[in-house]
Amino acid sequence: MIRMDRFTFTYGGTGKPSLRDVSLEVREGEFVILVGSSGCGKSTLCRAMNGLIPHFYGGNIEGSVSVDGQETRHTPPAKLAGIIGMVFQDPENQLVMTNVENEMAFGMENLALSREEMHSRVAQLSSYFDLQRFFKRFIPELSGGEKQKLALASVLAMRPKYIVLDEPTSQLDEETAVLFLDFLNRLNREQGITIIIVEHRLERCLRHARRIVLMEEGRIILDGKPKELMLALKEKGLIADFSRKTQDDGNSSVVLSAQSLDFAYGETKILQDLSLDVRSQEIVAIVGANGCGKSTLLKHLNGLLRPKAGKVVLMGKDIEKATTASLANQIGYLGQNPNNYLFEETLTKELEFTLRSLSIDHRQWKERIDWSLKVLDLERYREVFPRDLSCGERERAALASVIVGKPRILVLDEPTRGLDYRNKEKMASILDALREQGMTTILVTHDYRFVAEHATRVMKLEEGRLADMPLDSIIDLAKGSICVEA
Amino acid sequence: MPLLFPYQDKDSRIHRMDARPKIAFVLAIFMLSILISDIFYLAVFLAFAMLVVMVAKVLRATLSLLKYTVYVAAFLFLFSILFSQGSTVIFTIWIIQVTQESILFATSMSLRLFLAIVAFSVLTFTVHPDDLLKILSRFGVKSMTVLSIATRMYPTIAADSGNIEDAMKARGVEFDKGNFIAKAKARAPVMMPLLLNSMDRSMEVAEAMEARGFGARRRTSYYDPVISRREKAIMYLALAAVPFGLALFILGYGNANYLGGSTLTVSSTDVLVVAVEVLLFTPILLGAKK
Repeated sequence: MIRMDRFTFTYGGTGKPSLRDVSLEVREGEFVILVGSSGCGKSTLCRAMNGLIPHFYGGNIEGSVSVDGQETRHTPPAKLAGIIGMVFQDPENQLVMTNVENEMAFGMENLALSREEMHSRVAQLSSYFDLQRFFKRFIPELSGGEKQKLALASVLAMRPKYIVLDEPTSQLDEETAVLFLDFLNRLNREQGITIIIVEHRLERCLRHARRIVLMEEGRIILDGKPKELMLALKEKGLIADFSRKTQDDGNSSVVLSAQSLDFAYGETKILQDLSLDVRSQEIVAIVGANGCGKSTLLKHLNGLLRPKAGKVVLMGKDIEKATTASLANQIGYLGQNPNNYLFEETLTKELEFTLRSLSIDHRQWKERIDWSLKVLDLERYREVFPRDLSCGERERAALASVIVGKPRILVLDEPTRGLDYRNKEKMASILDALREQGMTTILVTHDYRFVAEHATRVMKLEEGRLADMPLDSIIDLAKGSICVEA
Repeated sequence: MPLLFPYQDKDSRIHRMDARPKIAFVLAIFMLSILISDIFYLAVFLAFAMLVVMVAKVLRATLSLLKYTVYVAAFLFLFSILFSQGSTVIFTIWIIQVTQESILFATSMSLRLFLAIVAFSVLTFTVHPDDLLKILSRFGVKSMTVLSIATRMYPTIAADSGNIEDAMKARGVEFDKGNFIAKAKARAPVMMPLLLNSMDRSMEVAEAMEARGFGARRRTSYYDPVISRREKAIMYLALAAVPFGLALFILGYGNANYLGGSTLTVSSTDVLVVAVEVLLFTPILLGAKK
């Protein structure tokens, strides 16, 4: 049993406790979902369970946490690793070896298991997880879903009784995430392993849960069976009904047009005779499975990648001869990782970097900075180091560094990835506001609900081509993931 | 796919072999290339090393590596000729005297360089980084950790830097305009986010390793470190070439002072000495069985 007894924790260097007076008991065999908005202390709670708090993160603690009777305060996480395993958010940063077999062995080597034992567990797990075909593969070549599965297998190899997962699906596409959650459910039912999982998109894991714990500002405010909590969760906006907010008038001019694009990485064809016309003030969403070429397509629109055949026409001009940088004041691009946009000392300087690169007249700087910070609701962070902002705020800060150039077209690669419901809503209303001001948006996403509520048009990328997707079918898909098992 | 490891995943006798004899071979060749200056010796060693590369099926990769070495060799020649010493003038261009001494010296130096590069490519193209790590990890757990993360993260960081460049381009930074210096200057801001990302990443990796029990107790090893007799023999023979070469070098075999007037002469003893040294290396060509 994991038992937290009036546990309070304050990270070193901050005045406000991240966990306040938390008491929680998790018994063996449970499947617990931990929910709450960004910054409510979910991740901190996870780290308190396996001793990363206080051993890895210094800070002030009151109360106690024990795992099977062992106080975490006196037992370092490495010693607890055989009882309680942890899977982190980013699959990239929790795998340390270069091939699958070695990765699974890593934890077992740390437990000093015998070689025979390790080989038998690797064999067993790799068939259970269907990992044999990746055995000798180079880990960086695996897809996100495969990596996350491997991370889980590597933790399971240590045979822990409890597994804590901190948003393990936030970097995965919808289909892969659902498969991953189904798999966790199987582990829980078949092997009786206790699962404690943090999950943003409650809809998709609701049917597996037998217990939900809701946190707010470092406290546990609700704890119970899904059925009992449905109403409260709806009230909090964690499970929402649909509302269409955006309507398309559909007769404005074409601002961006891709014509018969072909593209391949080596032998692998990614885009084939793909065409797309985007009209002014549209919000076009592109969906499709992982690795189908969505990001590749986006990179063609502003010349980051050049097609093997076909052309891209921006505001009536072929962009073949233009560099990406020279197009930046017409078409803005936000890649998947906002951190790639943030490196200056303050947010203001970050925006100035863009203005300087675009050679914008100094007299316009103040007005433009004020405008973008206002639109993105970041005015209070002018003098803050952008990397200190929360995940949702960083996404907006990165977007600010793009829209400060006032492009007419925005290209966004998964703008809602890893964002919780509230931050997603905020992002959506920002896109709506920008649309009002005349901006056109093309975005790639896995988030059907976001698409259903905000896109004016949805296209599906499959086998190198785009096909229109009726909005109704998207709404059905988004609703389909909400079903509660009685 | 972006650039991953330089390691070439081929199925060859050399690849199948344990990493240790290969490391021994590379070390021995490295040492000899530093020690020996005689052109005949170096040329024979180079020919042999190329043979190893061919058996390992990584000739093409090695040649592309040597392409850059050719430039360096060209520089070597140019400098030796410009600052020429010696009195045996072959011909004169304007006021520059091209002497036999300088030509021989530059040839010897270039051969050394080529030999070192070819030996290096045996190491990089045929020894899997994981195996290299396992060998190195015997020198201590900490160094292994650092190295392992570095190799594992290399492709990630390479991809990261590509994405950051894309982000910068999309914010109006020109990377491909102007001369070399302008291009290099434009790339400077990429370093900052790259460094910050890597720092964040290293914290996360450390945390994940801790959570998987790293450092709690003495580790065991998943792989059987057994090395076959044949591989052992290959390793010891390659290592034996070093003291053998050194002893004969002290006796004057393989030691040529071209700037001091040595000429390109090959005695029958030289041939014998080279033959024995190459013979010590030859078993590596047999490699490991299927």
